Amino acid sequence: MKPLPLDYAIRNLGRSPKRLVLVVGGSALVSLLVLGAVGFGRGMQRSFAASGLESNALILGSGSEESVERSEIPPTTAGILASSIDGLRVVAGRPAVSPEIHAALPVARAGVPSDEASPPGVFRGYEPEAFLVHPQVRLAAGRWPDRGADEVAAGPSALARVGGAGVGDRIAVGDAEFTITGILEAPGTAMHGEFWMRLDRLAQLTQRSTHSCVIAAIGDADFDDIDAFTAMRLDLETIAMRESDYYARLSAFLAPIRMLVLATAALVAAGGILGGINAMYSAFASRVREVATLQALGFTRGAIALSLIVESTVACAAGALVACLAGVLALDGLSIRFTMGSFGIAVDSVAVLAGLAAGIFLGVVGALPAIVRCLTLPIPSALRS
Amino acid sequence: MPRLLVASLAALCCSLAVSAAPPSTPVPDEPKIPASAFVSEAPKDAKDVAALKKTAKKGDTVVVRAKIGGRAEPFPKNRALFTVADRALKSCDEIPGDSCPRPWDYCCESAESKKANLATIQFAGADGKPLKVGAQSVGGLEPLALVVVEGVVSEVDDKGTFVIDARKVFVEPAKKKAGPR
Repeated sequence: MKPLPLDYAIRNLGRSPKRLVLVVGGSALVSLLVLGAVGFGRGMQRSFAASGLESNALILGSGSEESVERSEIPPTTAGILASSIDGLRVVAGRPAVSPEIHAALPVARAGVPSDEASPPGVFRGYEPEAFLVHPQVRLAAGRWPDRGADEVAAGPSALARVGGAGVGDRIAVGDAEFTITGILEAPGTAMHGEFWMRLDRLAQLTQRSTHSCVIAAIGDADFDDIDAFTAMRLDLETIAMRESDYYARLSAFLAPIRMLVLATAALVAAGGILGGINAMYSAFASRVREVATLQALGFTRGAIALSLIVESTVACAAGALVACLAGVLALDGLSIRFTMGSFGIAVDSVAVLAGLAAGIFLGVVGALPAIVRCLTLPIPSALRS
Repeated sequence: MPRLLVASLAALCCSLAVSAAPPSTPVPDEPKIPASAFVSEAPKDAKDVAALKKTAKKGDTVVVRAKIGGRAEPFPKNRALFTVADRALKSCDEIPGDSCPRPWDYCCESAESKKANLATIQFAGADGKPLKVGAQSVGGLEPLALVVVEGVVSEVDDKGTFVIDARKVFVEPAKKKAGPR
């Protein structure tokens, strides 16, 4: 089979610049949609994976394995755990055992009426030990809140919830007002979208005498001893799991949302692909005589089909490349807020590959109906058309 | 002479082979719950968990009858212990219409009730700590199984902690449910 020269297919692309722009643009949109959907899922998974460390044990109230915000444990749990388990990590004489309160509360910029439709902010009450078990967190600006004070630190994604407030601004949490004293950063984790205030102040604000959980750095201890501890201290009514397992469960719990996003993207992309097929069909159908001439000159149907597929695929791949560039520049790291915090869209190699694959798929599949139309006509009929 | 040479070479090879072999390191035995802990007859004079928790002190030898459960995971994965509940408490499978997926967690019971009616049974090693092996499915130990345990109280406090070091465990055979006739 003598193939048609590659430059024949490439030069054909420029015969109708408007149509080329249409095909490249359509392919870019389809690819961007697929890339965005895959990046959404990857970002969500990556955020949960980075939020929970395998080296941490999470002690939760029994029956609250699915939601730390629902969990209630006695405030003495952290102290009892630290004194009962040998080998837990100790830093500068302090056991790395962090009692915490997690709560979802309505939040708005002070003086601005809160939008009831917007999801609540995620608040974490912490003690200094929190920094021993959450090494992902650092202070980017300002200072940490003082004990008992109406002060709060916030991650960038949390600040976006309150109209982009900054250090020194005040926010309303329920009926109380708090001053933002610092900006915390924990890129790629759920904590990037949280408000942090001191444990005692959040307990007072939420009128609770219990904590949500205790997070302990396992260090040289054995996780199974912590697990056994919860089975022996029945009075505490707790269960133990690795922090990474908790976030893995959360990720599995949210899997239907990821599937929904992917399914929606697939449906819209299918519409785009049908549009692409239509555009290709009309583009190639007008070249029936040209195709018949090529056949009369001795080129086989296979060689002509290959040339048309190359022509279509090159146009669509160009669109996919544009989409990937746009995705990397505009979508990568884009913060998505949801009830349990926030995560960033991850335009990684997998998402880029998915976007490129969508473009190439569109190129190949889009050309097929037109090829069938052009090559099934008898040559004399085609030449007279 | 050639025979002597061959014998010498063979002896040399054998000694090299022996010296090249890595020194044998004793492999520690896998911890195992002793089969002798499981008995075929229930220990006598068994008491219910709630009654025992009111009177027993640390070091007492006790016999308790109970049902395995009390939390979602009554068996920690790699430690030889399990939690039990007083048989007077109704597990979710005994409540008509309850379709709880983990009927052994006694989720319908209040915190106070659980504190009064739950206990922990452990198979302890020489160090007094539970053996580093899971107890589920050993000797018939499963959630909701009825057991009679003889052992020594190793931990007790007024907050609800009650740990028994098991010496003898009798697992009652599961009753067959009467089918429709």
